[in-house]
Amino acid sequence: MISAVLQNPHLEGAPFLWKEGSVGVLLLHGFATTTSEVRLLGGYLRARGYTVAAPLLPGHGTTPQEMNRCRWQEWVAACEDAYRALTACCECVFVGGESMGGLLALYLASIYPKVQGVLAYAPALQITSRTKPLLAPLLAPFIPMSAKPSHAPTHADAFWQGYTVRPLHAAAELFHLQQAVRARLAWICQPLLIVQGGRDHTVSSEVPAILAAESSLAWMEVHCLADSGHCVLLDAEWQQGAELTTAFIEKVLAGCA
Amino acid sequence: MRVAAQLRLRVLQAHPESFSFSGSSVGVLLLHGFTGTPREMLRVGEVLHAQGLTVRAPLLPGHGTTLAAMNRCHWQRDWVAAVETAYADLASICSEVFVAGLSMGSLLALWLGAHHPQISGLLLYSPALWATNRRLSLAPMLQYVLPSFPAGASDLHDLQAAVWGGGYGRHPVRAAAQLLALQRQVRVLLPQVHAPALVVYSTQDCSIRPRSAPEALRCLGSPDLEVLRLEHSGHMLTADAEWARVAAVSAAFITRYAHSNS
Repeated sequence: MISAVLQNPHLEGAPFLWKEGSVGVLLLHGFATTTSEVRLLGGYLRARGYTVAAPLLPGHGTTPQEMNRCRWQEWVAACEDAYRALTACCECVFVGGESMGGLLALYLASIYPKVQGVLAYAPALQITSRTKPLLAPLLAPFIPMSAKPSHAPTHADAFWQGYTVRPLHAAAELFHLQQAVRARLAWICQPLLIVQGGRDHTVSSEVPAILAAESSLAWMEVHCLADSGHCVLLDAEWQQGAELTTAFIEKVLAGCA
Repeated sequence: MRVAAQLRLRVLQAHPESFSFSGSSVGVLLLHGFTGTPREMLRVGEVLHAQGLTVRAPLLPGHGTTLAAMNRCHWQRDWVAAVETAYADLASICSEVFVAGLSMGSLLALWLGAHHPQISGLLLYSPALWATNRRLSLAPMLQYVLPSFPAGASDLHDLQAAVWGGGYGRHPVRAAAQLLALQRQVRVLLPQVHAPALVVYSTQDCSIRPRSAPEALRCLGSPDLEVLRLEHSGHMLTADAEWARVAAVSAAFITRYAHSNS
């Protein structure tokens, strides 16, 4: 039953908490996917002595129907719980996420000044499509599920676990979350890492400019991985993104950023 | 009135000379801003040299002389030509070159970055893609009736830092029109810049429009960008209250992107 709606059902998508060192990293997965999206990076960080946690957000890894019943506040609440659990066993915590997860990481940074730094992988602060945010809430009552547009095959396809359809009510919630984060940008003053794919056609390339203009951050690094698509954490250059991540964390911990 | 202005000029321009420090095979070209002198870049230049880098800071044509001399300058024939020469000189003795610029200097750095893809990295301090001074945008018309207009109040946070600044106290209008022409040219060139770039800007900068730095981030073709946002500096952030942080971040940026290190 579930395999019919999940791409790559055999992958491990459960939440995890891997306790290692005193520096913690919270990794938040994206829209309609599971923790499989952040598992490669999580393993990389764990091997380097970081404590890593990743929650499975409400409505994810079950059915698109269930996801359609979720509000964005529930996703934020789940992230907050995971963040608090991580702060209980770590001295300092970085929050990061892919796509919608990056958006949630920015939200957490805006309400918890103690967050050491934000790791945003293709953060979905603004998407390239202007019409989708307008249409999703209008169409959702009539078409609760829409087909995903076909895309050129990528390296990430084999590692990405998530719904094969797009739940539209949930998509409308994602756009509400975007607005909520946008309104809170001025409260973000932590160092920020952005890693984007050069072939990402989902998230707008203007996100770094929006953050520079509207947030209070003092330090930001932006890196573009030329041959990666939207899922930078699973695509061919994910290891490069992971190296940039550890370099960034070390830099922040050394007080250089 | 004129005597007073000339006296001020003499006081402000105690040492407008360019400077040059020899070091490793990694070179840094430091370009000062509009009506400024290389002294604006001296504090950062000294830190970079202390890291072992070869540093060059040329004096741009028309600067550190008189308003009249500056008003005779053309953005491409004089300023771009001067930085092209300085870049070629530095590239002839160094295996790789970084270009740093303050304000108009950052525009010239971007020009070099767009035309010389082999440049290892750009350091853009207060990138002056758009200026706040409304009179500046009128310069193309005013230049026929007015030789100069007042430069406006200083936005320095560290008042002692004024000794590092140059300036004529007034803006040469013809030269300002040339600056506008350079801005227009460079804005179009941004997507052609692919070198790693460090952008440093201050929220308290009264000379450039707040959208200048975000706009630079939006348009630059560089795959690797670093952004430092200051809150206690004015436009001349290479000498103002947070100059030491600017210098440290610049040195770290160069260390990270120098090919000889990787």
